[in-house]
Amino acid sequence: MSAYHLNKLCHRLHHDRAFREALQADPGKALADWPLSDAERTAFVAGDIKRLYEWGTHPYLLGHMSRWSLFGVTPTVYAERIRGARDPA
Amino acid sequence: MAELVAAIGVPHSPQFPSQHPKDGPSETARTYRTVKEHLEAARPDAIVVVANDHFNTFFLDNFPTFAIGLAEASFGPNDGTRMPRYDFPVHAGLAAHVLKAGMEEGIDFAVTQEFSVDHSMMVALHFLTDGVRVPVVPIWVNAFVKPLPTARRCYRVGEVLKGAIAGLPGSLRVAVIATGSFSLEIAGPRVDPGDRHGIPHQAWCTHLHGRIRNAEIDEILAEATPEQMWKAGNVGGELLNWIVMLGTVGRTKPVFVADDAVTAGHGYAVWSLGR
Repeated sequence: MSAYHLNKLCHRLHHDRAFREALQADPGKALADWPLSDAERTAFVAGDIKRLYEWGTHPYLLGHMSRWSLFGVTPTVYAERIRGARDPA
Repeated sequence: MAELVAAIGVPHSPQFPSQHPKDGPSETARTYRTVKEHLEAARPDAIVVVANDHFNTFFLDNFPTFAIGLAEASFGPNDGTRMPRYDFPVHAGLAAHVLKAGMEEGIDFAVTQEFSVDHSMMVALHFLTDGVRVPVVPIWVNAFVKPLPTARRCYRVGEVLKGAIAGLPGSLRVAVIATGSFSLEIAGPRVDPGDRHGIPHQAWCTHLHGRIRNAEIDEILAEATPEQMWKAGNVGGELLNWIVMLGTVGRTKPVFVADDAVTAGHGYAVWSLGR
């Protein structure tokens, strides 16, 4: 499974304010047209940082979630969830 | 002919401009000022900045291993870094010459003719210049999307850059500034508790300071494997920016290296090369 669209999602939420606000307002609607698997969609909205990293999302891009505290992922929460994650194969 | 008058390596941490006023008393601000004095003494007419984009100029839809910016002007930072925005001139003539010289020597830069740059270039230009009025040539190196270019390849890019500068007609004085850390984890599993950063391998950073101080180039190129750089953190590959710069100085020893005890994963060094 390629993490390309997860990476693209993290990139866009950092650079596109309107998209970020749409995500915060209604994640299901904002993500409706994105080609993500159900597992990816669920993990993303749950802020499951460990899993998203292990699937290959680039940490620099994944870290953008904490810059904007998206889905409750504050910097503190992010640090808790990323520590101990395994590097993707 | 043009002349390479100075080579410099510094960190580009995006929190530095907001944490360390340029004229402030902190060790970081003072160290940048020391480097700035060396750069000013070299009187550059153009500055080549070698750094790694953090998905702000480029994205994974088209991510270059080596790229050069060829335009009349640019601006940055483009990534929301808390610092002044600078609109700055680009030295299109030098960029075009380096691009062509690279092709002739087997270094095929990707080219962008419309671009902005992120903190990896702007933090250094902010601290080391007065308002980025000297024209810049940006060179990007992929230092954090696997697979990375090899250390030897990056060194070769530096050698070609040096040759290109030496072959440019006229009397342009050129400085090369590489930016980046030696040991740093950003937003990865090895961050410190509660923090966005970690320094997984300070010993590697200290070791590199010794190598750089003694101009032990062959040893650096042999030791800077992908595994070693990853061990030093998920942006440990930023050493490659420095290695491009080292390719322009060869075995010349630096005139200044900051004490590694105060640099925490980073380094600051200066080579004075001009007449």
